[in-house]
Amino acid sequence: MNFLNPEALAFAVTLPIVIIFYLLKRRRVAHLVSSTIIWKSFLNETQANSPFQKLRHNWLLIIQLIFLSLAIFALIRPYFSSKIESGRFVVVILDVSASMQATDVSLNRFELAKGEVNKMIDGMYDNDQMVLILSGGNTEVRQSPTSVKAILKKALDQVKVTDSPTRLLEAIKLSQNLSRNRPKVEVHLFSDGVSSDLDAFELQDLNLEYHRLGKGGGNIGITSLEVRSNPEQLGQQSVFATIGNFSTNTMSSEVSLFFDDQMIGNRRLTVRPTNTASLVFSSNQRTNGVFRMKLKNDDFLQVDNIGSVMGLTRRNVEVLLITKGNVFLEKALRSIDDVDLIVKSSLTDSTPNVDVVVLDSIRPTVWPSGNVMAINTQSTNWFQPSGLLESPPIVDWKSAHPILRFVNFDNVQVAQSLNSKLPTWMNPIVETQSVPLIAVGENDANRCVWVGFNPLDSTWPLRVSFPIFIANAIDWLDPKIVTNLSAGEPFSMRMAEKGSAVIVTLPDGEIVETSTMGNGEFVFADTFQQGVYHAKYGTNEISFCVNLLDASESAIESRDVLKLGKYGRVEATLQLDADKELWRWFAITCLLLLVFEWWFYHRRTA
Amino acid sequence: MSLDSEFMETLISPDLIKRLEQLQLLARRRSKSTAKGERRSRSQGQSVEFADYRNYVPGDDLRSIDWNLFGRLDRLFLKLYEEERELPLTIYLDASESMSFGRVTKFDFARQIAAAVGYVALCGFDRVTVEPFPLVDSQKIFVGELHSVRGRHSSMRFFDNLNQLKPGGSVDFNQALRLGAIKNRDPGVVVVLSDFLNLDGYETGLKSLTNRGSEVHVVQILSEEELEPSTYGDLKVVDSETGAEQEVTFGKYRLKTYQATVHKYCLRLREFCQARGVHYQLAQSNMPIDDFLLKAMRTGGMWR
Repeated sequence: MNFLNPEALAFAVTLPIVIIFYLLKRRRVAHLVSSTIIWKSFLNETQANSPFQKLRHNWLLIIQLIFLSLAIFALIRPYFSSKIESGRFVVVILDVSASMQATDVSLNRFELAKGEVNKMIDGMYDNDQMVLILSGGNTEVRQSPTSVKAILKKALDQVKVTDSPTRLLEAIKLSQNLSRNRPKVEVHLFSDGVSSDLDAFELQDLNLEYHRLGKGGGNIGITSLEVRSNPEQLGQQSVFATIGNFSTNTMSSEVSLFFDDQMIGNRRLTVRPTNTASLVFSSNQRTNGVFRMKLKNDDFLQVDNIGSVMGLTRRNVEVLLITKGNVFLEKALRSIDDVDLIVKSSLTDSTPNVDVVVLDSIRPTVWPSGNVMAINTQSTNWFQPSGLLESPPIVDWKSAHPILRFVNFDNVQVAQSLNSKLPTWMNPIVETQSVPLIAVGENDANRCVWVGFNPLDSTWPLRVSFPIFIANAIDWLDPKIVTNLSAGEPFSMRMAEKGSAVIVTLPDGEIVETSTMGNGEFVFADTFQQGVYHAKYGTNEISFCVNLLDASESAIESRDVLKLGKYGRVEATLQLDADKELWRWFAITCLLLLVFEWWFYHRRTA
Repeated sequence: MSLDSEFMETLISPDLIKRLEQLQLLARRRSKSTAKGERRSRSQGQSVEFADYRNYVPGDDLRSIDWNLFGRLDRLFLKLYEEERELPLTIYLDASESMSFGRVTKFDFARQIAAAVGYVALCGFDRVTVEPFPLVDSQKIFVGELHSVRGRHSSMRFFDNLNQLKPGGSVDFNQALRLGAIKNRDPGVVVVLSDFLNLDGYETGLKSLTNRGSEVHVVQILSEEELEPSTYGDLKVVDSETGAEQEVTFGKYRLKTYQATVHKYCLRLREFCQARGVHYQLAQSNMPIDDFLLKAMRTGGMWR
């Protein structure tokens, strides 16, 4: 026999403690008697005053010692090595999406689900294993397979519901991968079934049990919210919103719009069952700020009653074109809406105060810092030129790259190109048989697009793909900051400095300290709460808004059946099977016996 | 004679008094007292009981000459009669703190016995002395009145003085009895009323009484709580006289052992008494006094 927890043997010190308690003077009641002479004789005869005579024939003590010994023996967890059948492998997928906040059940669906999972943990056998997967906007394995109930309960206890939409598919796929080649697999999905992505999954032989939470009820919520400048009146901003009624009754709500906590509009809105209504608010706000929309009603889901959106006016991209004359390129650049173009024939400043520098067939004395599009030129530090290549055929291009989106090189012929060897940080996206024609890369937080031929020596400027490429390249070199995100979607922003500290204040006031990545990009993925986030870096600050704005999530009617793929159907389980361990009852009985024993003992002596 | 004063009601009932009047103290030995009384003695003197003759010597009382014998023998003989002397009765009354226990306190019970025995003795024209111990200063005046009480007419004051006694304090039992024996030299009937719960024992004290030639009656009085305790649990019993503490765990399951201990303790005293010709009686303080006086003490040879 072996012991899993021999350290518990330390509890054996309690055995002599019990004996000491017996030997120690108990609190005695003073009792005045005429004389103690008879009592002394009595005690002498019973021999009770010598220390260990007290313990003689004391069955109560012996029983207590046996109880205690057994308890200590149990604590050191003895076991016999033998082959036993492996237990169940239970995968618990817990839906932590916004719809789980619906209050159509006591507390809310999420708390109900936690309670159910807790019961399931209680019902586990010693050789069962459980994995806890959280499914919200992202899928997360919160607890890897374990049999230790305390760990599982602790992990479950720390789970918080998010404001993000449901993506059950990823979680189910993950559970399928986790349970592959394991016997006795059970996948328990605790959800309301509100997920739009399950069509793409084929159930196959996955033993999935769907525990439906909630029943559904009236809900009205914001499904889209957007700010645009009013094209008819300059300087005005329009806030467009769509309000959806997801219940079977007509619902009405008060809609209020705030700009930086100041109310700028308020309307009463009535929406017919399963219909949506659009609203437009006009605002004269010229400053940057946050528009917040609030619905005031008593529906079952509060999270979709609020939405916020940044009313930012976009800054134009400043592009410096260094060229000796390229009408196609200049025209392509000028055709981009939000580009302020400066054209120069030579580069005088190595650190120009622009967003993008375009070098057209010009080799600068000092390579400019910042984002560069280098056309038919090469830095001596980066490229190792080895002459020219005549009529290189384009054989491959990576159309999946954002720069080559909607760009086709089928009908592009190049007369000659540079024959260069790329630096390691650059990747070719358009290639000939031997050399790269176009490459992109990122070095020291600066992006670079390199075109290894003069467009004027090709048919490319005559093709439609050329201006698209230029627009894509400018967009990639100076990407727009998306400040209105869906819950769970990461916020990213390029910064000049790498590794600089960024302090993010979450909507609930929590402060998270993080830093930019090695390439100077700041990515913040903990966007599971909706509301306004403030990121502070140095003396600058940027705010971004996270919203649910998901019609499928606002439709809180919980699903009876999950449709997986074309033919898969999983019906909701009504009853949760849980094997209850009985040791607690035995322990309680043991404790009650001990209490009874004490009571009986004192009754005899009282 | 009827006594109806208030304190008598509490000490001895008039009915019991009437029954006590019919009793007479028994004394196995003849009185050795020098005072006249109604008890036969070894001394010869004036009475109606003829004892012996002796030769006349000049100076003898001529009234005692047996003239009939002179007529027959022509010699002068004096008729001798038994002298009737009083019987000294000494009652040693334990008035220590330990006697104040019991629903009917042991002291009250002992005082009732003392009153009854004293009353019977007074009715028999015997001299009665009550020696309470320990002797408290405040009670000395009553104790003085309880010394050498004679005659039935004194019984009322005797009861009154008995009633004034209060138990309290601690006592050296043996010392008290030894001093009493020295003080009351005339051997007579001695009654010791105590619980005999003394740490120093009782042997020396009783021996000093028996050595004087007195006829000793011992009445051991114990309360019902001492014979059958009703307080259970983890106790710290405190001695009322010495303040000594003793820890004891006592429950119903140990009652029999306790009673066996008490029985053994009493048996040892009884055996000690029997070995020395001492009359022994055990009394429970709450038992009816009539039963004890008229049955137990009669069979114990106190009176008839």
